Formats: sequence, C-alpha cells, structure tokens
Amino acid sequence: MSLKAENLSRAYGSGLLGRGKCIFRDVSFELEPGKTFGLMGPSGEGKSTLGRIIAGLERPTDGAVLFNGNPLSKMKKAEYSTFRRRVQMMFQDPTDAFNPRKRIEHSIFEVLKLLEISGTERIRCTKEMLKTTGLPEEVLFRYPSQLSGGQLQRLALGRILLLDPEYIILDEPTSALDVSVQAQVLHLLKKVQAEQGIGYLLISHDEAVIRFMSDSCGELEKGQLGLIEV
Amino acid sequence: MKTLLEVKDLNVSFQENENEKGKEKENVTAVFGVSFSIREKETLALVGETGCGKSVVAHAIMRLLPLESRVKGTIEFGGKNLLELSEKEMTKLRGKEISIIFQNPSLALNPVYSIGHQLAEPLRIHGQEKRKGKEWKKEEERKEKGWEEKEEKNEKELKMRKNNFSKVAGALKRVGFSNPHEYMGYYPSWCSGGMNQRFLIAASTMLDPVLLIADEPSKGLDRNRVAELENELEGLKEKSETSLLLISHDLGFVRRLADRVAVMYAGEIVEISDPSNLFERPLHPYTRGLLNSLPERGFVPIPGSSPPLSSPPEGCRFHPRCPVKEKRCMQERPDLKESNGRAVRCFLCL
Amino acid sequence: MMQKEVYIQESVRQWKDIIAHHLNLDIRKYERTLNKFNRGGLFLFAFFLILALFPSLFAPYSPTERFISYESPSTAHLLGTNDIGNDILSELIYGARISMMVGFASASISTLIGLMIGLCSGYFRGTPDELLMGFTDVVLTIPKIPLIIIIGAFLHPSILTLILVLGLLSWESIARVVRSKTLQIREAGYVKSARCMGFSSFHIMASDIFPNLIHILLPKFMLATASAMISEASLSFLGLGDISMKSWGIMLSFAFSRGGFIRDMWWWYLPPGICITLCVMSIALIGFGFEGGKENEKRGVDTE
Repeated sequence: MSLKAENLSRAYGSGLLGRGKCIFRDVSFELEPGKTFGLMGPSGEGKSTLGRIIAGLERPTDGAVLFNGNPLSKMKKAEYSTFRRRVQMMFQDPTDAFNPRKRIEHSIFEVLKLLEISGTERIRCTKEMLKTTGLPEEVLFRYPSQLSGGQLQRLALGRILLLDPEYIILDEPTSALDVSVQAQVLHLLKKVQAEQGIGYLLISHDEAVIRFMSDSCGELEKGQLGLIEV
Repeated sequence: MKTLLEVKDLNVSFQENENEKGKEKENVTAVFGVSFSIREKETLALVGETGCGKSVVAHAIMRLLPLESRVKGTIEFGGKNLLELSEKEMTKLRGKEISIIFQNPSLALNPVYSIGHQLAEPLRIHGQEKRKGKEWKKEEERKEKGWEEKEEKNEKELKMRKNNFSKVAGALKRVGFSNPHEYMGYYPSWCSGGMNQRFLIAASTMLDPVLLIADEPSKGLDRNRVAELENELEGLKEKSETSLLLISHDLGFVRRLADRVAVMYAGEIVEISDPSNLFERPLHPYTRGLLNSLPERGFVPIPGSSPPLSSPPEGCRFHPRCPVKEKRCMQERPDLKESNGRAVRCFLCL
Repeated sequence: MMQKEVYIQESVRQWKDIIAHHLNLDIRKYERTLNKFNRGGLFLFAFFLILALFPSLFAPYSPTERFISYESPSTAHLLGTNDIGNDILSELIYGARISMMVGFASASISTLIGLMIGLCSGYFRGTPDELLMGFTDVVLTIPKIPLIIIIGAFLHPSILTLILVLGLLSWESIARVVRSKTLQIREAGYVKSARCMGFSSFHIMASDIFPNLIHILLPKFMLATASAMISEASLSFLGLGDISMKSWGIMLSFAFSRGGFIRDMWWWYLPPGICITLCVMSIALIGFGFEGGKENEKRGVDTE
C-alpha cells in the first residue's frame, strides 16, 4: 500500500538523436495513505509533468514509480488495472474536466458502468457521491457549461471518489477557482481525506495552500527536489 | 477632485434560451443597478467572484458587449453618455481616452507582428484621424499641385514615423525596459508572459488615456509576476494622471493598489469602501465571508454557492448564505446606504 | 437482464442527447447567423432530396418509355425527348437519385475512412501516427482524376466502382483535419481523466472524442458530397459512367455525343447542367452553414 517515486528524471526532446533538455533529475519521494505531500515550485519547472508521471500518464526518462513495491513499467495487465483504479488524478481546469457534449449524469454513470455496478446501485452511489460533495441533485441533468467552476471541481472530485482510490494526484486543484470556492474545495478535500484515508500529492504554486494542506512538502527548483519543513 | 466617470443604475441583461428544454427564452441579468463613480487620478477596484458581473461592467463602459445584450442606465464620461455615442465616436474614444488591459497577455498580442509595430499601431490610427481633420484642405491643394509635393508628403510621413518610434521607445522605457530599441524588434512569442504584460501596459498607456481599465490583469500569473505587475501599475499611477478601474478577484492585489474598493456579489455592488477599512472592518456579511476564506485567515469558506443570475433569490441576494439573516432580508431588497465615505447594501449593518 | 436493459437505455438516451444537442444548437445558430443564402440552400436541397426519394410522383413518364425521338418541348413533353425518344424531364427527375446516391455514398466512405485514420493517428500518436500520416501523404500526392480515369477504363464501368473509387481516394483531407482536432481534444481534461480512470481507448475515442468531432465532420461530409457529385458528372461526361443508370452527368454525355449540342437542343443539355450546379451549390451552402456554427461549445456570453 504505498506509492513511491524513485530517482525520477525527465527530459524533453529525448529520442533517437540523443538526450534533450532535462527538466528534473533524481526526484524521489513517497506518498503515504491519509497524508498529503505538497509539491511547490514556480511554473515551468515540471511539477505537472511529475504529477502525470506518478499517475502513469507519461513515462519518466529514468527512474521508476513503485506501486506496492512493483515498478509501473513492469506491471502485468491485471496489476496495472488495479493501479489505474487506485491512483487517480485531478486537473487544474474544472471547465474541461467533463465532456462538454454530455450531461453530468452520463459522465458519472459511465464511470459506474466501468466499475460494473448494477442499475439501482448506480443511483444509490450517485446520490451518496452528491451528498459527500454537498451538491444538489439537479446538477446531474446539466451540461458542464451550465455549472460553475467550483461545482465542476467538486463533481470531478466526486467522480474520482467513486473509484475508491488510495491516492489522488491533485494538479493545481484550486488555482482556477475564486478564493471562497477555493476554501470550500480545500475543506472538502480535507474532509474526504479524514473519512477515507486517501493519500494526496498536492501540486500547487500557492504556498499558503500547500502549508494549509500538507503534512510534508517539497519544492521543485532548478530540476531538483528539496524537502521543506512545514 | 473632479468626477471622471459616473455610472448610474447600470443594468445589463442577456437573452439566452439555454433553458432546460430550450423552449422558453430566459433573461439573464448579469449586472443589476450598479452605480459608482471614479474621480480623477483615482484607482477604483471592482472585486468579486467569477460570474458576479464585474467584467460585464468593464465591457459595458468600453461598449464591447455582444449585440444581444441590453444595457440600461447611464455611463457618463467627461460630460458625455457613453451609451448614446455612435460607434464612430466610440472608436475614437477607445484607446485614446479610455484604454483597456485584457486578461491574457499572450493572447492579446498578435503573434505575427513585432512588438514595435503593435505598439505603434494606436499612434498610427489615432494620429491619422487628427491629420485628416486638420490637413484635409492642404491635401486637396496638394493634389492640384501634382507630384512635386509628393516628396514633401513622404518626408512628412517619415518624420511621423520617427516620431512614433521615439514615442514607443519612451513608453517601453516607462515600463522598465532599459534598451527599448532591441525589444521593439521582438515578437510576442519570444518573450515571457510577464514581459508581454508589460508590453500591453505600454500599448494601453501609449496615448495617455484618462481612464485605464484593467480586466483581471493578475489572473493566471505567477506570484512573482503579480508582484512585478503591481510595481508596474504602482509606477503608472505615480507618473501619470490616469485613473484606473481595476477589476480583479485577487483581494491582496487589490488591497495594495486601490484607493477605493467596490465589492460585487451576484450582479450587485454590496459594499464600497476604502481598502483599509474594508479589510480591517468589513461591514457586509459577504465581504466578511470573502475575507475569511483568504489563506491568511485560515480558508474558512462561505457555505453554499453563488446564485445563478437567471433566477436570483428574493430580497437580499446574499440571504441564503448569510449567517446573520433576518426575516426581512428574505423579502425586501436592501438599498446601498452611505455613511462617512462607505456604502453598504445590508439592513443589519451601520 | 434488468441490468442490461438499463445499460441499453442509457446509451440510447446518451446518443439521443448528443444528437438533440447538436441539432438544437445548429438550428439556433442557423437562424441567428445564416443569411438567406444558406437557408435557400436548405430549401433547394430538400427539393432535390424529395425528387430523388420519390421520382415517380413527379415524373410524367417512366424514364425508359419511348416516344418519337428528337422532339422539341411541348405540353406533352415539357423538355422534349432525346435521341431514343425518352422524355427528358422524366430522365432528369430519375437522374437526381443516382447523382445524389453517388455523392452521398462516396462521401460516406471517405468520411468514415478519414475519421478512423484521423482518430487513430491522433489518439495513439507516435509510430502509428507517423505510419498513418505517411500513408495519407502518399495518397494525397496521387493525381486523382487521371487515376480514376485509368481505373475506370480497366474495370467494368459500373456505379459501384465509381462510388468506391471516388470514396477511397478522397479521405485524406478529412483524416488530416480529424487528426489535428483529435490531438487537441486528447489534451483536454476530460480525456485525461478518462484515461486515468481506466476507460479503454476505444471507449474514449467513441464516446469522448467522436461527439466533439461531429461539428467538423458534418461540413466536411457535405463538401465531400458536393465534390463527389462533380467528379461523378465529369467522369460520366468522359464516358466512364454506368450507362444503365442515367445520372445527370451521363445525360450530358449523351446530349454531347448524340447530337444535342450540334442541333442546339438546349432543353437537352441545359437542364442536367443546371441541376448539377444547383444541387452541388445547395449541399455546399449547407456545409458552409455547419462550418460557420459553433466552433466552441463554451461560446456565449462571458458573464464574469
């Protein structure tokens, strides 16, 4: 039950013609269940890339991501699909977190379908999810363009929670939101963590947010990860 | 001090038929009875959350709203009602007397022209207008005299170009570029977002506008860049006579720059005050909630979410989320009451 | 069983929604921005479509019925008769179906191929992308008309060959557009989170990316139809069409080869030409109308 980054490096433009420009090198840290690891740094330092690598959406140039001690690149299909469920990612821009052509209802049911949850159970799950995130039921019948950023970001979190993840990578989850909505979302994240013991990797450029949320914290600067006392 | 811009009872509504079934037409009132004024050399900040209508106010002043919107009320600028001006007169006013800095610096600049070319553009356009008026007759004469005068004309144009060039260089120097001649040959994509932002400020202030509108200038910028931008605007305020209408959701940014702050909620102004009083002793419960959700005060959120502008609640628009509401808050709409330089839209304050 | 029903219902409802969403928006956009030209295109197209669907309602005679040949227009034969005595008006009306069928069938083929190739190469990127796009580039450089003439000459000229050849040779531009749009949508938050949640690639392509491509596919499809109809007409005129199925192009060809032009029988060669022009124009206008509409779903008023 652990998610570990070991000596991760990433370079852009690497290919047959040799190594490209290095973004970060030898980054190692560990996420623990129920704890938050904050990742700070100025923009353009590869924070988001690091997040995507941990979530398995991109490959590192060097190093490995270990889930329960298994490196991600050597996983078998069954293992990989549990990893896929257990480690989720939440993105910065809430306005494109949902397919603009579908009602929210469909985006949510799609996930439940994927989990092979039956018809009546699906409605119960959805209702429970809405209760956790504190949203009215009518949002289900809307299109994403009809909802506010805060509502969408809470729905995005709710949708991820349906998968019962162990770790969530939060890539600037509140930087596109207003201050009062940011406070709501941060409190919701804390509440969910306390209830379900999820480990967070919080990526943000906002030091106040990191200090509020994190148990331990690191700063990515000039391609190196430096640990910081909180 | 003289009042420069006076907005009275501004109402902006859009017609949208994005109803549940798409059949009925729905009216969305984005701005509802907004009144404020900006004095000369003053910085007024409009603060509020996404969707509260603050950008709509800015666009209404610039007359940049889409055609299907309906605007009521008056916007008085230098004795003229902007809403009644013809499009031609408005075009003359834009850029020269009222200027706007848009949200995204890298999108507001055209990537295929050099910085120098783009910065000189307002000079060229507004310069031409002036010439047309003055030299109309001269030009007629010239046509009669024939080609000998053409050279003279060319020389004049060259002179004007040189003039423009030095003006652009001056403007760039003002926003902190030490060797402007080098930067004038640059293209927007070669520069960082912060540099582009400074180019934009230089472009907007090129013609010394009387009123500058900054629409969310700090959105999407890094902390360091926000600090840079703050210095820019600070410097601008000191050096020139420009009044500034600052639209932002960043409270810290506003606090450091504004002379007065107007807080908007759901299309209404709920509080107008000077920043130190507003931040130390907020009156309206919404302002209090907003300040409490700042990082410095421990991220205490306001419960609930902003009402949709298509169906705002009865009475005070904040009452469903208000911690101190009374019965009459749900029925009557409070007015903006003024006392010692502050104004607040609440029954229970003052 | 129960579960399965819900499952099916849901997906049906979802597609209905998507379609309704599109049509609704398109009509709205249509009314707001489309000028009279495009609305005219719609009427014209509806007219031709009805002709093509129910020719027997409008045609005075069967197209194979024979009368006296080379007759001038009269009340019995509004557009006269041709060399073998067929009524030209009836021929014209029955020809609509064939011309439009060739257009739509080959456009469907090319859109389908373009969509699949573009989607796959845009979504998977890397090696598949390079291979597929390389192939596309090769096809793009083939000169179309000469190739079609050669193929037409070698194969037995039939309407099926014509449809296949036209369809198989005109998908490249659609593939390119679909690919670039897919590359863009692929980076959107909802696709990334769908990948994170473990949806299959096929599911993501079909249910997340494809609905967002419809609004660029529709105009492309319409324009492909129009250009296929023109190609068909020119090929038929060159004598590479199917003589047993008289399209407008073949009518022109016959008018040319059987003395319609020499005898100055304008009622023979003019109507099919005008029909082709009008029909292609109406389809193209509709295509442009779709193109003008909703680039962006988040369009609308910025109420910030």
